[in-house]
Amino acid sequence: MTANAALRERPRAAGPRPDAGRGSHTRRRGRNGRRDLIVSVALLVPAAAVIVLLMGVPLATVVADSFTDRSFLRPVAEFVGLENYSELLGDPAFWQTLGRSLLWTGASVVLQIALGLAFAMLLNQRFRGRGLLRGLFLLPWVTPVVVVALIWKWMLNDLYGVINGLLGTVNPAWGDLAWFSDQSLALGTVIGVNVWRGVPFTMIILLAGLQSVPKELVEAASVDGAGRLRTFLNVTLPHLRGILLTVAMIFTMFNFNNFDLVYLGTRGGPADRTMILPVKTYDVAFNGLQVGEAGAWAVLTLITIALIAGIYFAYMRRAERKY
Amino acid sequence: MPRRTRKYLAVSLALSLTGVLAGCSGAESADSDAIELEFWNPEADEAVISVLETMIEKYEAENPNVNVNLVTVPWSDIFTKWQAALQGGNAPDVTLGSAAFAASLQEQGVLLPLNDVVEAIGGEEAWADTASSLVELSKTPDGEYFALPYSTNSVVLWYNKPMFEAAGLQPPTTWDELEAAAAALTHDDQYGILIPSSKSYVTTQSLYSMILANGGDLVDRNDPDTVTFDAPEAVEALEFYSSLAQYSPPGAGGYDRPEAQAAMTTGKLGMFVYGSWMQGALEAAGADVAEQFGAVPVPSNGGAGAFMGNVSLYAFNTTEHPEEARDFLAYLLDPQAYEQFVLINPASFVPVIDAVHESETYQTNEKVVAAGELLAAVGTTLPDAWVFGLPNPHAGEWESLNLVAQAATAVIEQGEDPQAAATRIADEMRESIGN
Repeated sequence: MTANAALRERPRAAGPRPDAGRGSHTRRRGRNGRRDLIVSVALLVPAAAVIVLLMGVPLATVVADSFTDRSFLRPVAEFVGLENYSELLGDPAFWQTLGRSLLWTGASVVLQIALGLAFAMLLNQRFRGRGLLRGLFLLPWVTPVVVVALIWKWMLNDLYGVINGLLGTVNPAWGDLAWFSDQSLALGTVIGVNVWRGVPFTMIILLAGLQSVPKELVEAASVDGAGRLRTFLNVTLPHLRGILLTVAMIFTMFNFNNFDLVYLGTRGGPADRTMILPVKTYDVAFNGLQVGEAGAWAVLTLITIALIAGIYFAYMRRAERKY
Repeated sequence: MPRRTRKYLAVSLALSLTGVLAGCSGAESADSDAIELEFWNPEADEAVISVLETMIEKYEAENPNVNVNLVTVPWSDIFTKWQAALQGGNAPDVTLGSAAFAASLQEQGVLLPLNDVVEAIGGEEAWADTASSLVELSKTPDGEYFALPYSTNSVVLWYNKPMFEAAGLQPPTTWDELEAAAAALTHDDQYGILIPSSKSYVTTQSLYSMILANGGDLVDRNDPDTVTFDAPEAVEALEFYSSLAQYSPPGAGGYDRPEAQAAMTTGKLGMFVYGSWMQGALEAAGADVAEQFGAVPVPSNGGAGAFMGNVSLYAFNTTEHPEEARDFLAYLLDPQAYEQFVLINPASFVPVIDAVHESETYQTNEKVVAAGELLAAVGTTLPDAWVFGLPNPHAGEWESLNLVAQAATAVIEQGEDPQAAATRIADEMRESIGN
């Protein structure tokens, strides 16, 4: 179709001609309406097909597999109903993994937002080199996860890590700390690395939010005699509420579904101390070769994250109504 | 419907259908006369792929009617990819893999008998003595080959020469000497031995070697469905292995292969029970680093042997060209072609063909000469070395699940009683056999 033809076509497709008679008007609208529908369906088909093929089919396959004993070890799978689910729900390891996932997510989100806000407020001040510092702060976020995991494992190695080396000069026992392999340290370590990686992103979003806080209000508050803390609590924070909630929700999703950092850092070890739901799902599917059971892990992960998202949305809607 | 809309609709549907159909259609050969052989390879190393390609080119030149299509699928994925391909009816014709995977596929009944190939390469005499264990594991009790050994290697005891010299020690040959050396070398900033306790292959390979050295195994070799991981020999090995952890760096509970190899290159560790394939990592760290390490067979406590790594060849019985598949396999084992393969990395690929193992070009090869001490240790170990958990066909599964490593983690990291940990893991093995 040429550009001219397209232009000629547009008024016809857009609606009835003003000079059309009553009878022909209705008929034409009917025909046009049907044609619009067909065109829009036709336009939607390729995109819808891609979505169905790339997301719907795999998701449906996982759900279907979760009701079978499908395994990479056997060519044929049998339907087992809810057996995979009842086994998981009765297994303490599932609840421990779920609890650990929630702890990992909660601690990561809270620290990422708190530190992100602190750095955003720092970088919202006027000082020399602010632009450069803002750029440098983004580095952890733009570094590929695989590099992040390797760098930290290297720096925190008990034999040749630079951080352990420095700590060792202060106290020899600290130099021997096995950050990624000590059972009491591993989860804290991966959360720490995750926070280090996530803070720049929360910072940049919250910095944008801070810049939208009207200066007049801040000035008015200080004229009225409000101290810095008071101004922050009563003026700045309420303005950031919407952004904070959105960031919290996005980061809850990011962290709960995180696989790469934990897998590359510890593979869920030592002794499952950092085993979170996505890593466990992978472990069951590709090390245990139990596709059906892994499907049940995946579906339960999906249900949990859907519940969390539901709570967030309900809270946001209430908050919107209130303000 | 106006023509234009109809045309648009048709184009749109056609486009989306093309996408769908493109995903469904198989790769049909353009030249219908040529025989297509699909050959899967799990060695992702550039050097291996390049040598295999050269070998294939020569084969195709000699057999103009055959096209061999080399597909590289990493070790971590190949088992699941075979299963998916078998279910989809497009399994490769021939493949490289491990003896453990072959045992599992043989149990499924999907492998092609390969005795004709052994005949074609000169019968049983063609195999080198070092391949004797692997040859035994490639046949059914009735003598039917379902896999062909392609190369082998083994776990040895690596030791740091300058450290041993400084302490006036000789490389240990018994467990008592091993423990004494580990204790003597642990002081200040250095550790006597690396004892990994992570849920990883490194732990599996190290501990399994100690079990064999104590005369134990995972199963009774004459009755492979009888699990012996909780029998006294294996439990004693688990206990001894765990007791050595006090001479190991604190981070070893999280070491996988890269961390373990990197730890060795720091020069702070005295010994490591690990595969001959570590040579590559030591060389990559520098010739001066590689020079520091010596290798001897794993110290024994009444048993013999160590974990054996291997590459094997097999063909699926779903192939439409069994004759050509067998012919191609025989070519891959032909001494001239085969020598190129083993010389890629002599510390990882110890030849299984006697003619190559004894040939002058192999024995005087620069890399083979340089790795002399290591290859001697491997050569001494190989006749008794064993593939993890075979001949039980579930061994590959246990290895993939890191079951043996989990016992080490439980004892070393969580203080579980060795007998209790071994029984728990042995029961998991029994359960998987029952399925």
